[in-house]
Amino acid sequence: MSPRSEFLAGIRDLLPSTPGIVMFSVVVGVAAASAGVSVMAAAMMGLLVFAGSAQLVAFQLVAARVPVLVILFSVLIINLRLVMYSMSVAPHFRHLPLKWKALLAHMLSDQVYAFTVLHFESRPDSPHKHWYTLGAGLTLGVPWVIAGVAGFLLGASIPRSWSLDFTLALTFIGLVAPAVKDRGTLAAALTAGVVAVAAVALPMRLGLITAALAGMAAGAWVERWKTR
Amino acid sequence: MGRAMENALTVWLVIAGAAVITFCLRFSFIALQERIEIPKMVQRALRYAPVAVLTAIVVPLVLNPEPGFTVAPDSLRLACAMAAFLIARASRNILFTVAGGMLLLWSLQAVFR
Repeated sequence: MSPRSEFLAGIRDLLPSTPGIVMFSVVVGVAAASAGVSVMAAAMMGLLVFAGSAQLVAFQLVAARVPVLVILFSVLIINLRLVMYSMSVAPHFRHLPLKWKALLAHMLSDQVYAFTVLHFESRPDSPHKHWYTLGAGLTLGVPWVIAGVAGFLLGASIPRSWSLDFTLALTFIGLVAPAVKDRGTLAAALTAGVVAVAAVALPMRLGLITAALAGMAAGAWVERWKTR
Repeated sequence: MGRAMENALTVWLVIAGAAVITFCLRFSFIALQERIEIPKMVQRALRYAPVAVLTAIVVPLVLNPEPGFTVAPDSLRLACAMAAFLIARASRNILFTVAGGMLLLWSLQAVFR
């Protein structure tokens, strides 16, 4: 495939994911508005971080006046999964110049990664396959930033009685419910949920990090115990 | 330094820090190739990061826990969250999940409030 057709394939494959992404970004934008940050900050967060859950939690913690270092540690834990994505696609990008590597790395969101891996597995030897990831990344990235700003403006103008903040919980339920599919993921979810409730009294909202790490450990432990 | 300015500084520090951290995580293996290796147990734990993190975020949002292992959820929201869970399991679609959950919440609020 030519660079052009790879690029277009990336756009075509990711287009069905854009409505969901637009909505998630609107939710993040609404949360940014209620955290009291500027519209410029919300836009830059979307452009430079490009990771919904981390953006959301970061602004919530800013609003809760949590110290910067604790906020950044939370972002680190929430985004740890990105290391897995990086490890998985690295062999395919080995031949590229550093600028390309950096650009494509920044575009590795959950969906872009998922489609990239599927596409690369079907044609491992295509020399221009990195154009696919670029097309995929732009197809989600551009609407992501625009919808985030739209959500910010929306959130600032819609009354609280609409309960729009609940879209936040619903979005996460939509993400996590289908992801529980075996004993390991079930153990991770249950443990994280119980610890999140038990650890609510921890200072500086450290309950989130504690619960996430406990869930990860539980999942890994159950998997190990199962495979032995 | 005034409260507003101090807040703006915090926000921009968070944005810059989050951007750098997130980029480093994404760039890690792409930049370093095989020169680093993650222990098997850590790799295994990383696989459960999405589920664990998302659950750790959403459970307190719905259950509104209080110190001493008690919860004080809004009953309408709790009902909608459980319905949304079922919608998500069946449809595997975020859009349907959020739309269904919000429509149900607005209906319940119209009836019970």
